[in-house]
Amino acid sequence: MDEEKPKFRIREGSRNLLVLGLASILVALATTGVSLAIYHGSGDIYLDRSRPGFLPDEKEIEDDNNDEEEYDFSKTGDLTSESLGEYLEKIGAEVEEIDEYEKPFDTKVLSDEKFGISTDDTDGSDDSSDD
Amino acid sequence: MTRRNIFFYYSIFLSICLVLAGLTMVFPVEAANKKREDLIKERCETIKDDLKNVQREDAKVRVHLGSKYEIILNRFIMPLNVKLVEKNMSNADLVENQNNFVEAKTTFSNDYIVYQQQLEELVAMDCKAEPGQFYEKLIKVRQKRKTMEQDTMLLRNLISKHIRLVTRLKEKI
Repeated sequence: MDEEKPKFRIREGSRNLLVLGLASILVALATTGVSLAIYHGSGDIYLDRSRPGFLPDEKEIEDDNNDEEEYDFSKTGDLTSESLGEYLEKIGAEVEEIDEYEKPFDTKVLSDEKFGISTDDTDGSDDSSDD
Repeated sequence: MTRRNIFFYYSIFLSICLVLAGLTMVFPVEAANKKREDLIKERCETIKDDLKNVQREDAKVRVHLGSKYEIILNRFIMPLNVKLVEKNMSNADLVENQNNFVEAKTTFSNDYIVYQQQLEELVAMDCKAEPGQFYEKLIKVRQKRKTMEQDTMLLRNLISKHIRLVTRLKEKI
């Protein structure tokens, strides 16, 4: 009986190690699951451009690396016609960049004609001939 | 033929006409739906690829516009209104426009999440097995995209209004 005791202790130790390992894996899975749920539910996933297939193109990277000094309208100091003139000039530049996208979220992108599923005979025949 | 009989036959004739008219309206719609479902099945993979491209392009547009709206609000609209308050020149129209802009920007962000969730569900659908349901979902996604289009138009109009108000203010100073 005395000789069996150390054997039992080793077994118990290895079992505890196994339990610890499994518990760690379960905790890791649970926390990862919660993180992914928050990431998805908050909508951050749709703004994440680091996802495969959503990486920014070269032009965007160039624009990001542009070291031009950013304009910030000062909350203090005098309010003059000149300062407002500069303000309008700078805001105009930002607006121009917004207008680069002529029709953002244009619904035509999801139209039947676009997908070639229009039941209009002329469209249908044209699209099917393309394939 | 009594008057009652005439009325009876006339009612039957009218009912038949109505049923025929109904059928002529229903059958072409059903035929069109069937044709569309066949086209969806046939072009399923191409449609999915197109939808994935739309997702990618939308992410690009959303990030670009979102950052620009943020810049316009935090570096232009808000500092100007703070300065006007400090100089006791607060302009009610500019403040109201700022509040509208903040609200519209929040709506834009929330609508985009809903729109993308629906688009994601659409991409995940099996258009070969369920073309009818796929098309119904596509219609819903289109409506959400229309909302997004309206949101961006509203924000653009609010920016234009802000510029008009500032131009007027500049002329007064």
